[in-house]
Amino acid sequence: MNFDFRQKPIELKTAVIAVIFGIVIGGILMLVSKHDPFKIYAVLFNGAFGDKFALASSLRWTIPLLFTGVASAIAFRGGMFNIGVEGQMYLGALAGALTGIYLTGLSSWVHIPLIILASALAGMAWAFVPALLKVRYNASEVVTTLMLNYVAIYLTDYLVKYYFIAKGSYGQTIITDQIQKSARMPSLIHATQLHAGLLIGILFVVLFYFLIKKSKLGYEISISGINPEFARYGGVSVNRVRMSVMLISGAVAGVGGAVEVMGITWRFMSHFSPNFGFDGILASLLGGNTPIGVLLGALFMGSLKAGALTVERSTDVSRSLATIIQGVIICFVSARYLMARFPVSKWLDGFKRNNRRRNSDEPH
Amino acid sequence: MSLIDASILAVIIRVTAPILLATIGALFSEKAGVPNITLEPAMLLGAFFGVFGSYYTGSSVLGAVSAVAAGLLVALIFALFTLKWGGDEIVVGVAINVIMGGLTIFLLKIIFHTSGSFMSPEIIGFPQLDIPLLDRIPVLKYLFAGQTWVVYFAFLSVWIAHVLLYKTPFGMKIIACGENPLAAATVGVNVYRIRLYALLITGGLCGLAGSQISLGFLSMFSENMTAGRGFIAVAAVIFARAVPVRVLFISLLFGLAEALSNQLQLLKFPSELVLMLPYLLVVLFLVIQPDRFRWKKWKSAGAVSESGA
Amino acid sequence: MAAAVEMRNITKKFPGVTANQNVNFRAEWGQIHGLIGENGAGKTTLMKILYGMEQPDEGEIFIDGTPAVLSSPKEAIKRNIGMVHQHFTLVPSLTVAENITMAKPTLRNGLIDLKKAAEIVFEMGERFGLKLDPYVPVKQLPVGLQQRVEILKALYLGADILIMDEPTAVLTPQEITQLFVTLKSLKEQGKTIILITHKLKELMNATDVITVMRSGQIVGHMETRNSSEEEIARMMVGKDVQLRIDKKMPAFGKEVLTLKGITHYDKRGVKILDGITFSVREGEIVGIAGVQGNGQTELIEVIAGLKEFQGGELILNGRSVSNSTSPMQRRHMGLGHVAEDRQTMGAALDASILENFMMGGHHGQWYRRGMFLRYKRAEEIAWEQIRHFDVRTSDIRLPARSLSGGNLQKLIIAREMFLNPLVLIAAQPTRGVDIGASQFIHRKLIEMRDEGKAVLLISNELSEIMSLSDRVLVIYNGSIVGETTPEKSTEEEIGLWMAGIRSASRRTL
Repeated sequence: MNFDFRQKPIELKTAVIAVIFGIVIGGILMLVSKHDPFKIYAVLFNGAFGDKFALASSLRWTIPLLFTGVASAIAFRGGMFNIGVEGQMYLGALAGALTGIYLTGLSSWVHIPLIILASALAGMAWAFVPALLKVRYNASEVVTTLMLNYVAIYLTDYLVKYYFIAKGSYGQTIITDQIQKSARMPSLIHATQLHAGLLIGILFVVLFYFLIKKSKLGYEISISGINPEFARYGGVSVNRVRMSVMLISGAVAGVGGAVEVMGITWRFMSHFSPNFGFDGILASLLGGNTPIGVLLGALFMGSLKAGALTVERSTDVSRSLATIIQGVIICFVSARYLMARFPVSKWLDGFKRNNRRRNSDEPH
Repeated sequence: MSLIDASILAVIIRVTAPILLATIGALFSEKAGVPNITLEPAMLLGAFFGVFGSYYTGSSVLGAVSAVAAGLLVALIFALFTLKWGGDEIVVGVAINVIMGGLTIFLLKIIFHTSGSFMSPEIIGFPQLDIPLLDRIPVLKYLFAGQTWVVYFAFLSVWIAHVLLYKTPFGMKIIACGENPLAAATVGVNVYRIRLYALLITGGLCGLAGSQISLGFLSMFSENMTAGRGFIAVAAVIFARAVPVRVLFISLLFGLAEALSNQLQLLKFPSELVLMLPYLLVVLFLVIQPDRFRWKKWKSAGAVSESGA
Repeated sequence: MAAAVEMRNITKKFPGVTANQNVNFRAEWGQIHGLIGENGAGKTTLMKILYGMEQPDEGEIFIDGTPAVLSSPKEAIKRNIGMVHQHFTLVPSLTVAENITMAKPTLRNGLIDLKKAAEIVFEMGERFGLKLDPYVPVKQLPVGLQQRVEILKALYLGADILIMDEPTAVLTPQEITQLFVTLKSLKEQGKTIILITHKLKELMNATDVITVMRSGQIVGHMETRNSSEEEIARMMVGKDVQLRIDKKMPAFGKEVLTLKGITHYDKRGVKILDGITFSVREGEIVGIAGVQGNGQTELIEVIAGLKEFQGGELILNGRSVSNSTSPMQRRHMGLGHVAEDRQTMGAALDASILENFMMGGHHGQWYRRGMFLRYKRAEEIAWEQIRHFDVRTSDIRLPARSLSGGNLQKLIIAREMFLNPLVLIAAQPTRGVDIGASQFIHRKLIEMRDEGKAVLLISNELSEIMSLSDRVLVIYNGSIVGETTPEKSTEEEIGLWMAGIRSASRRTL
């Protein structure tokens, strides 16, 4: 099986059209289950944007996706498909939680960076083996990281259950003690779950931007993802690039796990991630693996999640509907032949072309 | 209870069956040259619709039929977005995984009005068959008693796949599409259609595999009950280099791992460590025998000769 | 008697190029018909139309006098047309018999009857003199036999008209002789063979009739025995072959690139390079002539560091290079490399023109500051070079895909020359490039030489080698079989060396 992943640019119109398709199919599913799509979508919209609490909720759910999205995007740009962000997140979360619990007497300004460091290392470590197998033996990172996702969940459960279980719990719920006060993220908006992890997430998006657009490594990553043969010929060590992106990707995903612990759960909890990893991958794909795209993609997915939760609370439509819509959107984003048929592009392309002409002085 | 007695054979055969079916299914996609990671969702949807069909018709056979239909549906959707509309196989594959995970939960809610899992005495599971005479042989009797017809079919499918692939024109076309699509095209083979058929076979078999999971031992459906077996099948088929007989042995190996993990759990081994086994096994394979995973370029025509352009 | 093939007024256009313009082609029964022209002359397109792989925009086709609509290869096969492609269309893991009978498998009870297929292969082998072991998987056969499978495949489907596209490109001289014996025997059985080639020698030896194409049109049609190589060459090129470009007097300096006894084995253990020894000096263009597939690609890759060599010594600018010296390090040592395939290795088509230009240079200090790249500065430099090398584009942020073949090649040359290497490997620098751009590229290579740099030119086009090189080496079967200069030897003589025929006055290093 050939899992060669070549980076191809995605246009805005593709994302927009795909979203429309997703919404329509979601609507059809709602009709099938005897609900009024317009009403449900209204609830969804309200749940995501309706009031201060809705917006806070949307942002809360965006935070983890900023990390997994950036992690996925970096890997994608380098031509690697890191499906293992979920597992790397778990390892990062556990490492972060433990650092948060057992280091005492520190100020937040020291404690939180330490936790970030620990979780980054944990996530990086979890990505190391798949990276090595790919670079040495060309073993598909898709298969290896996927398997390690399952292992990660079981492993962290095991470690917590037998070594770090919370006092007072008898192995029924697998959780650790709470982290120290110095390890907790301050809240950004009073009485909501929105925490300062958002700022760290945005920071990572900015770092991603500088990495990809301004640094030498970023250039090598981009080219390796588009055409590794060309990169090799030009003197780039594609192996080094691939290893780097996987490790960076793992590190970022790990930090994402720790941020969730520091901001929301304040402890490590088994199965704490409702598919943050996959959602991050989808957010990145939706955004064309660019920094601004990942940001928007994460916002989109986060809002969708917040809205879906509200829908589930106030109607009997399951939140899994949002998951379905997300998957459908990505299918359409990827369907190039279909997307090529939409004439909307002419208008958008003309707009872009005019912009570019201003930048060049070569008449054509 | 001792750790291992002969009765574990029954367990091994039983848990191997879904993996075997899925891997044999994966064989066809792999041979045809389509990277296919929609095995897991096909199995999951098949498991769900197996229960659905059996519940509403009172017949486990019709349950199996609807499971196969579900698998075919997944394959059709995958084929539509990739073959027809040019989507990337891995991206669409991941997306379909996400979709079906959500869809099963969604359907669970609106059809059965429940979440987590669904059980009911009205779900008719596959009947457990005892083969007369063979079920008296000491030790081996465990292979022939208490299994479902799907299990036997799973093992039969190895032979069917072998014949189909190597001895029929259809199989030859599949191989051609996978190794040299340009060659196939110039001989008048409709590569697109052959790949579609291969994908459908994969989907159907995975759907059936799913029904074995939900109807073959316990009669119920629970969220994510396929637990990554579809991905193990992906790894297995690559590792077996898409040869039916090898697939049989690799699947048995995974079945053994799963059976052992079940057994160990009963013995109060930490269940988490034990559940990890099959997945670690895959990674271990990759570490030990890495050259099994050298990828060929499946899209390019490629001259057969080494020299020349 | 009606002609076997008659194509009237065939016109076929692709975006940006007219492949066939009002072509009238006619081939008779029982004839070996040569179709010759340079790369891009339109001969392959014409035959693809005949085989139903392309549809003409205008024109008609008659097979044996009756009109034919060849909408697909299947239709062509029905009209008893067969084609053996340049790149084989075989399925590696299937046996000879299975590959041959794949389009119409021999069945028994719905299953493939391998024995019957084998019998057919035996029988056909006797009839046409093409013996093969039917049970061997095709991937185990040498190239010459694989081609035989291809021919039998076409014959099995009933081909009376056999199109062969550059059949000798990958054959050894013995295999080529054998092939022509086979073709002659097929001709004597009344079949028509259309031989697409760009090799003058073979044309003269093997064909009865020749059609010459140039720039999409037929420019000549005659019986082989009434013609000569010079006449055909002239028709192919359109003018008397003008060889020399003005060069300064040679002023050779020290050796910059030296190979001593370089040996390379491929993955299967086949020896691809056998004791290659030569050197390139400052201010010199050394051209390596040879038929594609004699080790040139591997030679380039070994020098560039993309493949390993198993024996011998490689010296770059006075320093020894080992297999562990990376491509990047070799570039730092002064090596430049214009890749022979701009689509796969020479460029990243989906990356921007600017990003393509920056490759290699991003290691240096022109627009780099530490860990970061200054894209604004890179853009300035890129624009300078792009203008200097006449690359036609309006926006360097567009993907490289938007450039035409010639412009892309000029971009690649611009990039490599900007990096100011001491020795430049130029592999197929004008392949698929139009005349104007080709001449420009040639001038640039000469400029480099005049400035005291070294150029290693590797090309399938002998005329290019002859017009640019100070020294000419001939590679055949992985070794250098001859060394001369354009003044001392003619294209014919060199062509003989390229074909593995040693002349009495052979000189080796």
